[in-house]
Amino acid sequence: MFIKVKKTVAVAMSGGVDSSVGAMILKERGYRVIGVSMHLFNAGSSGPKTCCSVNDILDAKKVCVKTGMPHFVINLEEEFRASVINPFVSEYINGKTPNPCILCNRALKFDILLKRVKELGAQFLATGHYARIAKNKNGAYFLLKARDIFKDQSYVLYNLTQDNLKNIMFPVGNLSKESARKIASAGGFKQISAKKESMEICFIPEGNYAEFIKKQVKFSNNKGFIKNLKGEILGEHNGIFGYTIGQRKGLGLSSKLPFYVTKISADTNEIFIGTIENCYNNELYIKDVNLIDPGDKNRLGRMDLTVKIRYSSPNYKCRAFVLENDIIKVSFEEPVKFITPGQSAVLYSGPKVIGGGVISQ
Amino acid sequence: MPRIYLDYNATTPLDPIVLEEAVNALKNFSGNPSSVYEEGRAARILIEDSRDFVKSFLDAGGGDEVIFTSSGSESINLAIIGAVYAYKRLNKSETPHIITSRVEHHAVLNTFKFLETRGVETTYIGINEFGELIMDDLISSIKENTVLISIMGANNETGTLFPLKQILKTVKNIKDDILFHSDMVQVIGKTGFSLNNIPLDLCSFSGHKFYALKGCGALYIKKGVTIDPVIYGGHQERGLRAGTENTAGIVSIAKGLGVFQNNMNNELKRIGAFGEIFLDRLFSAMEGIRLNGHPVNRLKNTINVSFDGVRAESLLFNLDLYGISASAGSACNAGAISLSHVLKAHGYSINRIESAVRFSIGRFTTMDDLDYAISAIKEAVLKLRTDSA
Repeated sequence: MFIKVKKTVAVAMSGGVDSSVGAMILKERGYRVIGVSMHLFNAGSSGPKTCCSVNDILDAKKVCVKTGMPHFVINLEEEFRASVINPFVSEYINGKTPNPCILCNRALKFDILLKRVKELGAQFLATGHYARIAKNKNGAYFLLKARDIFKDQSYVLYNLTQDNLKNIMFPVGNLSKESARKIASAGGFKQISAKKESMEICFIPEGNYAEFIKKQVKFSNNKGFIKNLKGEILGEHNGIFGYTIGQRKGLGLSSKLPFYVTKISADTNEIFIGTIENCYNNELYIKDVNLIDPGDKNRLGRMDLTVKIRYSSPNYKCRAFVLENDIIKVSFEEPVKFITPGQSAVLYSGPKVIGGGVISQ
Repeated sequence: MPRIYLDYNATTPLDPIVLEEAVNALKNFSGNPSSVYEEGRAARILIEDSRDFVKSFLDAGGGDEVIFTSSGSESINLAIIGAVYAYKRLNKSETPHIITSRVEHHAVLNTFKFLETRGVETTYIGINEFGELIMDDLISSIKENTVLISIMGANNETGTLFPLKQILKTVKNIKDDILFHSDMVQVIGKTGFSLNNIPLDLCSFSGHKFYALKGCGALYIKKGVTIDPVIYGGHQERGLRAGTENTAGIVSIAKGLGVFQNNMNNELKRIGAFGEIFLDRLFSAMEGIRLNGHPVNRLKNTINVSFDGVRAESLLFNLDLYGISASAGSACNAGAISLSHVLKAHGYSINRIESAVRFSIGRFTTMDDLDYAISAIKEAVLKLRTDSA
C-alpha cells in the first residue's frame, strides 16, 4: 500500500455558514485545508454586520482553530479599493448600476487570492459559492448551477476561465442551504449555522449606495432634470448615481400612473421616466464578454439559451449572436423589462453557464 | 509539529520560576489587598514587596513611585494623558504641546491622536534611514507650552535603540520642566537599564515582554511629577489607578525582573551571540536580503530583514506552516497585516517594507531552533521567489 500525499486546499472563509461548511467538508474528505480570509476594507469604519467585520473574520478563525486548520488573514485592502470600489463608484457616476460581487470575484478572489494561496502551497482554492464544476473526458471544465436552484450563485461566477476552474472547488455546490446549516450545527458551530445571510453589498452594509458614493467623490452639484420620454421636465434629481433602471420609489413625482426610471443619461445628467410599457426591450448587448468554453463562440448563434439579466432575475429564453469587437447581442423570445446597463447578463444552456458580460446601453 | 518561536518582541513565554511564584500568589494570596484582615494584609505586603523590588531594580529614588497597571499600553496612556490632564487642570488657560517620534508603538501614537481631539498640540519627530532620531527637529520643535516628550527606548519592530541619555539631557538643557516619558517596553527586563544613568520622569513597561504574565504593566513616576488618573474609583495604587490589584500579575513582574537580573550578563551575552549568528547565517544563506533599522545600535535579539521579491505576508504564513512564528508590520484585531509605519518612517521603498519580516529571539531560543529556522526561511524564500518569477 502506498501513502497518498494529501493535496492542499485553501478555503476562502468569510465567517459565514457556507464557507465554514465548505472547509469542514474538505477536511472530512482528507484534504489538508488552510483557511484564508480576505481583509478588504478598514473594519473600523464598517458595522458588525458586514462580511469583513472583525467578528466575521474571528468566526472563520474559530472554525479553523477548532477543526485543526491554520487560518490566515490576507490583506487586500488596496487591491479591493483599486479593482472593486473605485470602478463601482465610477460606474454609478456614469449612470450604470454595477454588480461589485462580480468584479470582486474576477479581480480579487479568482485572480489575486488564487495567486496568494498558491504561494501558501495550496493546489486549490475553494469558496462557499453555490455552484458546481464538472469536467468532460476531453479535460474541458464546465460551470453549472448549484443543485439547490434557489441558492444558485453561478450568475456571479461567469467570468471564470478554464484555467481558473482547474484550480477551484465549490464544496457546498451540491448541498441545500438547510443541509449546510445542519452540518455547521452538527460540527459544533451553532452560532455560525444560525447566521443571517448577507444580502447587502459588503462595503455598504446600510444599503445606501448614494450616500456611499457621495462620500467617495466630491461633487460640486449633482442636481439635474427628471424628464419623460418626450423630453418634458417633470422634476429634479439629486445625482444620477442615486437611481437605477426600473426604480419607482423616491422619484418625488406626483402622478396617478406609476412611473419608472427607463434611462439614465450621464452625458446630460438626466433621468428619464416612463410607464411600465416603456420598460420592455426585445434585446440587449453585452461587452467584456467571457465564455467558459471559448470554443462556444463559433456555436453561440445555434444554441438554445436562457439569460439572467441580474442576480435575482429568472432565466429568460433567448438567442445570442457574436457581433464585431466581441460584443454579443442577446435577443429575447419575449420582451423583458428593466434591462439595466452595468449589470451583467449571463447566458445558460440548461444548468450550464455558457458565459456572460456587462450590459451596455 | 514542533513550534519554533521567534517572536519574543511580541510576547514571551512564562519563565517557570515566574510561573511558580504566580501560582503561589493565586493559591495562597487571594485576599483583596485593600481588606483590613489577615488575607488582605498578606496580599498587600506581597504587592508592596514587589513594588519595592521593582523600584530597586530600576535604581529609583526614595520618593519615586511605581504604579502597577494592566499593560504597557495602560501605563503609556496613564503617563501621557495623566501628565497632560494634570497640566490642564493646573494651567487652565494654556494649550499643552506634546512631542513624540514617528516610530513609537501605537500605544503612544494613538494616545497622541486622542489628545489631538481634546485640543492638545502635537509634534511628531522623524528619523533618518538608519532609524536615528532627527535631533535638530526635536530641538527646534520645543516650545514655551511643551509639556511632555515621549521617546521610546528601543523600537519594537527594528530593535533600534535611541540614545535616551543624550536626548534627555538635550531636552532638559533647553527646558527643564518638560516631562520626559519613555516607552521602555522593549528595554526593561530585556537589557540593562538604570535610572541613575537615564533619569526619566516617567517610564512605562510591561510584564509579558520579560517572561511574566500578560495583563500586567507598570509605570515609574519620578518624585515631584504630577499626573492625573485616567481610571477612577477606589484609591488603589496611590490614587492613580483604581481597581483591585492583580496580585499574581504584580508578583510576576517583580519575579520576572528578578530572574532576569540574576542571570543578566550570561543571558545578554548568549542572546547577543545568537542574534549575531542568526543574522550572519541568514545573510550567507541567500542573496537579496537587507537588514532594517540601525546596523549597530540595536537590540541584538531583534532581526528585521527584507527579502527582495517576497511578500512578507506570504513568507510569514509559509513559515507558520513550517512551524515557525515570526511577525511583520502590525496586525489588526482580525489579523490582517498592514504596512509598518516604522519602516515607512525610514523612507524605505514600498517593496522593502512589504518584504520585511521581524524575527526576535529570547531566553529559550536554541541553536537548533536557529538552524532549522534558517533552512526553512531559505526554502520558503527561494520558493516564493520562483513562484513570482
